[in-house]
Amino acid sequence: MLGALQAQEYTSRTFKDRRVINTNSVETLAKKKLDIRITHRFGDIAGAAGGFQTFFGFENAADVLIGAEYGATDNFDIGIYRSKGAGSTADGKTGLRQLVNASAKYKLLRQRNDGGMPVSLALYGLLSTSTAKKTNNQSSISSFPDFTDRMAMTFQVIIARKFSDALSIQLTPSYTHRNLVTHDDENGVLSIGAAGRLQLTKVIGILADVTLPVSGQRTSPKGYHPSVGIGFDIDTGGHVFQINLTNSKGIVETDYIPYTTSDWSAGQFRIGFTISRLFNL
Amino acid sequence: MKKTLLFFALVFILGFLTTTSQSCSKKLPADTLPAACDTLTISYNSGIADIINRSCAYSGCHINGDVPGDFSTYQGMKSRLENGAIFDRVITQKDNSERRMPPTYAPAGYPTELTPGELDMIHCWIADNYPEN
Repeated sequence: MLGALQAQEYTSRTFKDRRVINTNSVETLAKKKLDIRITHRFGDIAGAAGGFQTFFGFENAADVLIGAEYGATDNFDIGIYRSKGAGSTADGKTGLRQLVNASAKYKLLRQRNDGGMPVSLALYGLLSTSTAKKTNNQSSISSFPDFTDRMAMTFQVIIARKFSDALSIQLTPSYTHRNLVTHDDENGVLSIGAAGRLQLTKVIGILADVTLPVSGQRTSPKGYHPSVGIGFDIDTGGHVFQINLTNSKGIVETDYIPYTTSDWSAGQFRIGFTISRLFNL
Repeated sequence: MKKTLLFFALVFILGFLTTTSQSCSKKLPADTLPAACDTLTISYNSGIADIINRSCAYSGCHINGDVPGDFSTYQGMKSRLENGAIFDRVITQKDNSERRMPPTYAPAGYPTELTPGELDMIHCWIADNYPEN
């Protein structure tokens, strides 16, 4: 009885899933739950690489992610995922490909319904390692002179508030570090993200996210654009199904934060979807 | 409950430290000029115009407004030399089959890529501030 009362003290389901389009939400899995997840991003819908010739992007897979996340406790998740990798610099040098991504999320603070804690806060860390074959081309990122050159990492502080059952908003300041970059690039990229959910019905919500790199090197004249996404999520009980439009090709943070060169206004946005299923272990 | 939380907090911190211990900040070496630049004397009128006219400035492409940039004259090339666009598409993107110039979709009878010798000449010419004569 007391346990049930305590459970209602804390705000639940600020977001219905652990990701809001590209951004990590403040949510963590319940203890002993395993989430198997597949995320897909298609090719450009319009613009030079889109249109009817690529059936509005469906012919191409810009990035695919498949993997699992496990709730070690109610507030601590660990995940392991494989993604193709889609990032390139604005001048055409490809970033890391064939990524093994290891993630951890720790929910430090939980919002309280009585106002005692106004926000939920989680820490997120991601380590991406490329398993691509090393190339002899010394001006390519895949030349990997050292093993650690295959790695990139992102650290985020996720701060969220559920304003009502209909509206939640979060902010995500982040730092992304790539061990090896091209000559004119910088290894560290700071960014600030924002994400929100507007619940339309019990089952369907509208989601939106923005990630803005804070860097003189990552401006629109230099060919980089903020990552902006909009979508729906549909809660069917055991599954959450998300469908969205976003300009970013890459799915993981180490990919889309430094490497989004696609421009919404040039039609370089794409359909993406995520299917995830929870299992009890 | 508190003990498990502490345990996983430690795991998280350990993970964080392990990850950051593997971090370093390295950059690829700058692109170097081809060795040939030392011996070649190139200008638009002496070597480059020939390459451009047979690989770029022909009907349907960079001539007479068929596509942006009329490269049939030195003047026509200037603005795109100055803003780096030609260097980017011809030299930087040379290994990128989707973005390089000349493109893979050049019409039959015209080059779909430049020879290494031609690339070196253009690279040296632009690095030398693309002299006209």
